[in-house]
Amino acid sequence: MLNWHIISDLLAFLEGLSPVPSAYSAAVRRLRSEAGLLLRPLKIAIAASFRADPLVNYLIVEGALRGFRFDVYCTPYGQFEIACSTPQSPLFAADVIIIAAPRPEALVTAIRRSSAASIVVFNYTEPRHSTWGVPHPEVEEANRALDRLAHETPGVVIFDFARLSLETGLASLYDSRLDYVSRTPFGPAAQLAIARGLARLIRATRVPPAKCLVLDLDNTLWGGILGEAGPGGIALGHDYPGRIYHDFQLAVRTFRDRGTLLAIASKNNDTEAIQIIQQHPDMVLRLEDFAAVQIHWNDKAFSLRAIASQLRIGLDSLVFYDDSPIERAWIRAELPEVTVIEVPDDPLQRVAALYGCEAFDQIALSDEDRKRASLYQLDQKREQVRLESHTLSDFLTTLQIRVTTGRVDGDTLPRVAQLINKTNQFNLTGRRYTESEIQQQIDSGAIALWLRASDRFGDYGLVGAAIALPESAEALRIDTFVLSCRILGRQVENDLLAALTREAGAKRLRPEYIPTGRNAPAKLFYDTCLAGTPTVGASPSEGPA
Amino acid sequence: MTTRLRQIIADILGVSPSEIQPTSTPSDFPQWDSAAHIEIILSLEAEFGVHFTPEEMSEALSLAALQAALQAKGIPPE
Repeated sequence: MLNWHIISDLLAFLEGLSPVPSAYSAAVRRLRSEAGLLLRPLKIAIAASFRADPLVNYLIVEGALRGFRFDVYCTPYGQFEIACSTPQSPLFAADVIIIAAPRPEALVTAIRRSSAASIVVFNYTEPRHSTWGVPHPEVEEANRALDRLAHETPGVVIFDFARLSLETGLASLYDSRLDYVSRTPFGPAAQLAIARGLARLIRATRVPPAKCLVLDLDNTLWGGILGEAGPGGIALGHDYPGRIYHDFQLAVRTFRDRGTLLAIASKNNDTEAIQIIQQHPDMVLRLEDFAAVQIHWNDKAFSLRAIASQLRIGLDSLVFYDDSPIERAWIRAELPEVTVIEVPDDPLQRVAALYGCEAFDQIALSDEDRKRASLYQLDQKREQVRLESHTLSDFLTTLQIRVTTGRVDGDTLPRVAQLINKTNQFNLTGRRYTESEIQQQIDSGAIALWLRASDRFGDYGLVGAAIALPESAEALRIDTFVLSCRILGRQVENDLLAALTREAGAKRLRPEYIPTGRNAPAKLFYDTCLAGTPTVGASPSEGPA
Repeated sequence: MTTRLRQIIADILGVSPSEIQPTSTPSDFPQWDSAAHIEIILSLEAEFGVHFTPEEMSEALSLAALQAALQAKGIPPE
């Protein structure tokens, strides 16, 4: 409780900070003395072709606003290339290495030789000066090559400096005076914008995206109040103001297409509202786009709890979007785990508020993300079968589940990393790994497996992963064992364990369970299948590694 | 202006404002290096809405000199 107060005071102070270097300098000192232990530590290194030191205080504050204690190291001016190829450099102690220099490919290769750190690479922007009207297609080509590099190298992400420079404007990005006197090309406002963008990206390499966007209806998906204006009186269409709400729905749909589940929490007449959603000619989102729907006059905290429980996700996976400040304050007070978007009163600012929310930020999209909305529709059909089945085994027989397993490779690594980072319930140890860390484990002899499942309704996608690390010549420790909540209750954990046992061959498998406060479903599996089974070896009394 | 100026220098150097004297110069504080000096100048620019040329930056090397430079840019002393 005490910690919570310190943090919320501190966040309010940091959010109100004026954009002046001295204010950030004082704020960093305050952070070090008050909040050091409350934030998640992360070592950052910057290898830049310019002097990046002025970015450090901004970066530390922006990191703290996102729950991190950044410890930042900059390579000395002019030495970024030497540092990248010198494993003794402090650069190599970092969890995240930022490269802001031309021709970063060779630097990435050099760093990867001896580090599994996440690597953040600045892409290119337009040249600062250019003969008017002369295009620079080489910028786009070079950036495409960087995208390929990021796609092919686990743990490499692109910092979209090109986009940032468009938003800032080239003229305000650079300060040639600072470039000449101190070899930092950016002015203070641009330094802050860069630090903010970097902190947002670094957060996304460490924090899994929220799973569900919960939307209000009146004055959110359409203009006006249905109960007062009637079906003909709401604003939704192709002219002002109805087009604002139409376009907002288009924006929401892009989130759905990237794998965000949508839900409705509205105080409305159920029949009337559903009729609009299904029949209004200008609705972009239809009933089948929503994984959960709560339309009634009960309080919205009740609705959000019901949505989380129906989708089998935690309240901390919900993001609430509601135009009413009263509803937002109520949810903040009742359900502090839920992310509440500060929705602007001005309907024209609503799309920007949605994109400004960092909770859905995600570095890499998997096939599962793109198909998630339809995967959840299948789940609703399966739920129907479950209700009609007399026993669990009846249900499983009806579903005709088929499982395949395989070794994690370049194609499956991003999804496996994603699953390991976002799975809370069926997760034996709660350990989180980045793509490059998993690759490093595989390279040093770990068995890393994926599991895919399908049934007569369709594909579940890649929904399970396990990693066993060599412990001795004759034993492996099951370090990580996760199943997506969508496949829980289908008993496929036994298939994943069998595959692991097959791969381990003559070696003994030692299971491990670490309680995280949220992984009770995995505990049951551990107790009944793992701890007592002689084929997988040791009992937990041998203790965790 | 002097109070805000003193606070800005103190914040950058990580000392108490009372330690900054009118005659204080970079040689009194090991942390008042060229990078810190630029941070001080940039903070003054943001705080008072003024602009320093590279020459003015390198010449205003004490509390008194910074005060005089701000005054010359139309910022009243108190």
